[in-house]
Amino acid sequence: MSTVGLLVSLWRVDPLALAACVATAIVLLARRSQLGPRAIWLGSAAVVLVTALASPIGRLADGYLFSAHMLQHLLLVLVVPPLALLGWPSSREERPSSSRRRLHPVIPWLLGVGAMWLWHEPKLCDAASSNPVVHRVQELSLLAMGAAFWWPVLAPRAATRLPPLAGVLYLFTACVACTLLGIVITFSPVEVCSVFAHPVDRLGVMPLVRDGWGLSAERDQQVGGLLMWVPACLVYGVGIMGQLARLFAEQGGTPEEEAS
Amino acid sequence: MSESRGPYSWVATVDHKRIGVLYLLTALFFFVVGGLEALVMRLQLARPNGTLVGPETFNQLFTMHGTTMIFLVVMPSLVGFGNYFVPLMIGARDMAFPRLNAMSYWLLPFGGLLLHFSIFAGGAPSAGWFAYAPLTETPFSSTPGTDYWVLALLVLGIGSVSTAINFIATILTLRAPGMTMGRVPLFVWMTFVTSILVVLALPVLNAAIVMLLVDRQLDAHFFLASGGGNAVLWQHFFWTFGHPEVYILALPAFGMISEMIPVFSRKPIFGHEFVAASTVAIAILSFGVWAHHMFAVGLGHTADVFFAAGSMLIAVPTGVKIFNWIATMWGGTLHFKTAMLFATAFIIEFVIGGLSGITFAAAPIDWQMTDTYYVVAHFHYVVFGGTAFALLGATYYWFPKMSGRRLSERLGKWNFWLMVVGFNATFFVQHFLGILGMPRRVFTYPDLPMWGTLNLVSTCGAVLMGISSLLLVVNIGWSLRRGKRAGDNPWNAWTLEWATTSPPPHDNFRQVPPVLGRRPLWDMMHQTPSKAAERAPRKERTFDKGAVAVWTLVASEAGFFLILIAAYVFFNDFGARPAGPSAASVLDVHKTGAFTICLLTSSFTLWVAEKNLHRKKSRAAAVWLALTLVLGGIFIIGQGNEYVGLYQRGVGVATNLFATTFFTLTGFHGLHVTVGLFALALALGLAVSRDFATRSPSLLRAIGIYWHFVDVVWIAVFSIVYLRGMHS
Amino acid sequence: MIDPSPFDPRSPEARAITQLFDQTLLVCAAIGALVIVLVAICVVRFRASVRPVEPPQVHGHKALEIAWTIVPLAIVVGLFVLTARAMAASDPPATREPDLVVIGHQWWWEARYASGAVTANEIHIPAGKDLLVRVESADVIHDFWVPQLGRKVDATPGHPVHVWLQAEAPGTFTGACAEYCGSEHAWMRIVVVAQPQAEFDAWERHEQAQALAPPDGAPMHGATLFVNKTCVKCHAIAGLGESVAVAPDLTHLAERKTLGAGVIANDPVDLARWLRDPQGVKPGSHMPDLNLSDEEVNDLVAYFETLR
Repeated sequence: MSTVGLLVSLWRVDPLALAACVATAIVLLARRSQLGPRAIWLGSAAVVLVTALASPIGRLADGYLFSAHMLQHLLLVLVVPPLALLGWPSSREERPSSSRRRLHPVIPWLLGVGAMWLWHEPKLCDAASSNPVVHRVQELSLLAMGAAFWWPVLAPRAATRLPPLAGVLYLFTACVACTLLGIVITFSPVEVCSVFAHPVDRLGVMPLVRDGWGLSAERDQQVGGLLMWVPACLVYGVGIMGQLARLFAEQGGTPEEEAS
Repeated sequence: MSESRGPYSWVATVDHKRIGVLYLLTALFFFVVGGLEALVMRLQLARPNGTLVGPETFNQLFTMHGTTMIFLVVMPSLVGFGNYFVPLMIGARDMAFPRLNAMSYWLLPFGGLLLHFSIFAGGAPSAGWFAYAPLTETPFSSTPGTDYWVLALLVLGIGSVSTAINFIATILTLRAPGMTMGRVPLFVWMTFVTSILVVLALPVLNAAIVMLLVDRQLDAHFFLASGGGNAVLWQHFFWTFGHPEVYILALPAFGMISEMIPVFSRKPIFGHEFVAASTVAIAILSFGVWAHHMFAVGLGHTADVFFAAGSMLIAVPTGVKIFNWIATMWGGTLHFKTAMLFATAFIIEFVIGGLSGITFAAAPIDWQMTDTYYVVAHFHYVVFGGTAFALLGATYYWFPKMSGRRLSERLGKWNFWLMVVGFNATFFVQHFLGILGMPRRVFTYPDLPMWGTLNLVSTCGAVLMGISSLLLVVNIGWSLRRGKRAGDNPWNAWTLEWATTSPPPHDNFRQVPPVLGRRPLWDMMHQTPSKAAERAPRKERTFDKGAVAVWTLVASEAGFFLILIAAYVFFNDFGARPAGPSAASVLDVHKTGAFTICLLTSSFTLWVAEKNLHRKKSRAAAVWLALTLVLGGIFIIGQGNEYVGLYQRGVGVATNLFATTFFTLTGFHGLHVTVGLFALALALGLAVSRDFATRSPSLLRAIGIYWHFVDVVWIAVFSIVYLRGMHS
Repeated sequence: MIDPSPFDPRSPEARAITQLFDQTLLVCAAIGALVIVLVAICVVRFRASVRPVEPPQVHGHKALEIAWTIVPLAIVVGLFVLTARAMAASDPPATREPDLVVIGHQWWWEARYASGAVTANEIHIPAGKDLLVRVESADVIHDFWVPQLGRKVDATPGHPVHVWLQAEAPGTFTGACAEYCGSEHAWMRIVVVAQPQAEFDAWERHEQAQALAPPDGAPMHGATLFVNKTCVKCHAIAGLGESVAVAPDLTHLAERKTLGAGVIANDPVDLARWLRDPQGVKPGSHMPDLNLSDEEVNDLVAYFETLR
């Protein structure tokens, strides 16, 4: 099998991805007027979700490649939920803030960081990578924990969001926690998921992966760790830039600027 | 209040302005020292096979030059300007913690003395400013130079962290009404971001040099391969600190440039938000790219590829800044005072340094050019052509405010042109030397084609730089007495420091002007205030400065423990386990578990004590506080007992890497518990003396945060060392 | 061109790096020129003496900001692709047992060939053949760097690494230790001599041979001194009893061009100077001053001259 062949042939129909697509389509059609340009966010959330689940990334994540698993993991926690939240339809006018107290941000923070650490506990990681039911649970829980994590900074109603600088702190500390795990996985000589060390090659892709791409099991895990370390941190970094944009929009204005 | 005079008043001062001046004068003194060291090196290298100094002296010179310039010149002068101008620019009366500020300053001359005392104790350190192990280990550096280097850096590191905490607390809590975080001048913003970098990066260095000291003084082997240690680990630790350090040296300079260019272009900074946000982007990226300093180590392509990508990305936010500075000048009316000349030269030189930096991000080019004169040229373009030029510009810009007199523009122009010519002559040719294959840190070199000529040019440039620096000192001395009177606002600038007298009175402002935007003085001159006042942004949350300080300290300490824990995990869980005693064979998890419960309970009792104090029940609070002290004491006794038991079984610090990492980690934790106990005892003393209810809730709260943190660290230590140790 | 410069590459690996360097420098020069031109225009057009007016107060321009974020990002991505390709081409993975082990010492290089040949500081290789080199260190961190032949690589104790070494055509290439390693870091130079295969084979065979028994007279005296004065405790000479090789192997000393890793030439005069006052010639080196008399020095030199 060639690399191109692999990229073309390994797509599949994934019920979760399909359901998400249908749901997105309905929302896009029904709330068209309300969404406006935000439809792009919602649409890209669906596209990324499909990529994570139904594309070769999803197939290889099922016990073949740790790095593919990591990519899927990161897309589900760090990319799909924020895109969906950014595109979430909400009425323009702010309702008066409800008396309901805001959830303490430590809880969603723990959920978001937990999504990273928990599923890389060797036993859980192995179970998820070999058992389809557990894998489904993993995917759903990652999406849910990701949504919970991004809620305090991207909640559809601006009034319920954290203040911008607190948002920066929230994202930065999460980035540190995530980086630490990335470093551990990169440098650990111990396998995080033993499933990926000796994949059962039902698809016949391993010769290509091991020889063609030069991705030994050891290197595969390093790439996975580095994915969590560097690109994941960039996502948090983009989030932090978003918080700063809010800060300057809310507090920066100078009289002459607003006059002009 | 009358100004106190005389030398003693300077020693005893807690005024941020005087402390700022002290920082700057100290930095100037060490700049002369470090500069002379550089001159001697350049003279030695002027010709091939030079014999002015021997290898040992030369190696001490470049080690001291690097250490001095980074820790005793650039950092203190950035802190000095920050000390003087951050409170003024945000409309505050002083720093958040004036006494802490004075202590931080006095650690600087103390650290400097310690470093230089090594000269009389068998020779200055000679292992280079990044002190690569194992060259710094006892078998290869037997004189105490390296020990003094470690101690000096620890002292300076503690000073830097406490200053950074002070800056963070000041900027978060003491801003004048209307001075929102979105409006603070960019110099303040960048000092804020830099302070966060200092708080997070310095503890990494501290942890690493503590390990080095344990190696040297207690015969352990953290970084000695012969004893199971790992030399690459030092590099990881050092550059985890070292790369953010580069931005610690650069960001405040960016801030100064962002103040000067608008004023001398008569335009506001272009894209304030983007300049500010790109700073944060740089700060975040700076923590993720340290391994590009280690491309030559041979870590494997997998890691190199990611670090190359991350390092290249830093070019983007840096480029954003450069373009914004140029856009600020574009269409402006440029007044080329000396300060602006330095700022303009800064842009070009910093770009050259940044671009050669990109070639280092490309790993294969780094494989050729690192550790050559090309890298020497690169980082001098960043740190001298960049930061030092910004500092020189800032000196011309802010001197009138500090002294009430302007520096002579005539001498200033000489100072500038000699510096530009000298600097570029010295360092531009060094790019070529690197390209011709000349390694760095060589005390002499063979007579290869072109090497002699280029080195001679470089030396001539260095002499010009020396003359130029001398002119600066002369200019300062002359202008202090004879300089033109400055008035409050000689440059027609817009930020708050220019709204007060030059020099400012002890309390800075008679009245802080209203802050309605980013340029308060401009607004005063140009805007009808009523309309602007309506548009004042909603009120920001206010913070308690004590809480901010303690949380920042906790963040810093967390970084320190993280590195100690990383070392423990690295040696005990990664790779071959050290032979000899291990957690499973010598530790008693049940016994320690019992003491752990004591420690955790003490967090609870302290919490109850706080609650009681909050409800004004001082007596009950004192009782709960005493109980906390007892529980903490039991924990310490338990740990002491464990140590004694281990020693009796022949397990000492140097036994193997398990023992080394175990004792280092738990020892530092124990030290923190002990410090916490002293703080609690102090609080208890205050409680008993009834001074408590009035002023101590925030004190006890601060101690409480620290104490809970120490407990959280112990939970991590207990799980990693004891619980995991039992099961593996 | 000029001898130790990476801009005169003599191997495919070095060539890949030089190509990347050229491309990167071109991009960087363009950006640098752009900045300098823009600043120059500002200086000329907007100086106060030209336009002494209050300029319009422009605060920013979003589209411009986005442009000068996106364009550099695109350039960086392009450079990254080139970098990744050059990495693969300039530093291919190790695929077999090393042909040659190079060990950094304070302050000299030891080279051990798979064939058993051992030499110091002057490394011979067959031209046109890719050799796999394992780089190690005996004490502190050194760095093996021959610019014209490829990447430098650190010699870290406890962390051996592999690197390919090749010269396309015969020639002599110099290099040096590039990682600061203590007092005499400056004099830890490397010479790589690339020879035609047959010549190299002859050299390697010769290098494996033991030293010939010294002729009577001064050389014989020198050999005795070599043992009695404890030189033999550090330097090995194959055929002269057992010895520990913590210092350069001297079996074929007279074949080498320099002494002390490049500090002086290897001729009878300099050799005598080196023996008489090693700490004067290379201060800090681990070669002790043995207080040899002139006669002893002459005998030793006579002996060493026979070690061909």
